[in-house]
Amino acid sequence: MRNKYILFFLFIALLYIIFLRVDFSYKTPVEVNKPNFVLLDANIEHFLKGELGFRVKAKKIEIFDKIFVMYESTIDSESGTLISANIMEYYLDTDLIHASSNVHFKRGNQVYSGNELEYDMKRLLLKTYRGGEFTLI
Amino acid sequence: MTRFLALSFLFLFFVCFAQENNPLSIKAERFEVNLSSNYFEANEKIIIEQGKLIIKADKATYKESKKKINLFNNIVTDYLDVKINCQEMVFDREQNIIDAAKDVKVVYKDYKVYGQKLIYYPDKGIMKFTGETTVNQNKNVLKSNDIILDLKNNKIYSDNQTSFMISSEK
Repeated sequence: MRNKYILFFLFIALLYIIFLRVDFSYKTPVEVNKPNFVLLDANIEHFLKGELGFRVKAKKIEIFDKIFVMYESTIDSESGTLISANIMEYYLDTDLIHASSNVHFKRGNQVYSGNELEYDMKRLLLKTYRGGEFTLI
Repeated sequence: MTRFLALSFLFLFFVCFAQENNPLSIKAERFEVNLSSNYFEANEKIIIEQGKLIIKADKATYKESKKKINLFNNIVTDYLDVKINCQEMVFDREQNIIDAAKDVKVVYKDYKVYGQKLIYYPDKGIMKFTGETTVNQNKNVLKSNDIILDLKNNKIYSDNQTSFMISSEK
């Protein structure tokens, strides 16, 4: 009778050790975000109304809930800002644009060419990363 | 005569116009720009070019309304034949004046000048050093507190506690 209890205890201990050793992380399901809908060869005249409105030309636009992902796109804003990049994300909540790969930015006499930028359209703040060149004509 | 005067004015206008329109190019790893106030901040591996002027530094700030570039840390400037190394610098785009400070070293032809503070007027070819300054030309050494180098006329002016050592070696 006592042996049964010892065996049961050992069995539980063994299970516990196995549980600690096994890495379960790979089993975590990866959530794949699928766009709500996709626009191909898009040429949108008025993307948003008002002060922050802009025109968009893009090879492809993926529209998620509050994020627009644009490929090989050019944005031409009402305020005179021109941004083009291979990949551009527009965050509807924050009016933030994140552009990467072959990025070009122009506003007035200021021209930027580089690899990555983040542009806050409301506050007119521009941050660039991973090298680039600003030219003030 | 009238034609000569007209051509001269045209030439002068062209020279002035060409100088003012030199675009400013700033290369850097990171930029932060406030487009409403036109304030630029550049960080890491900075290379600034304007016409024949090349400046390298670790950090730079620029406000377009003031037309002045402030540079910080490990600054190397190349302007025609003049090389300036220092730790702090202000380049006035409008006046075309370079104001250098902290561990200033200037190399020009066979001159090497070490000083505390320098104001350089490239258009006039004048360099004004203030604070303890040493000018080395080959093995000749001039030390003074205030020195003016006239690069165009190859002259040195000094009137404050000057010592001059001339090397007799050939």
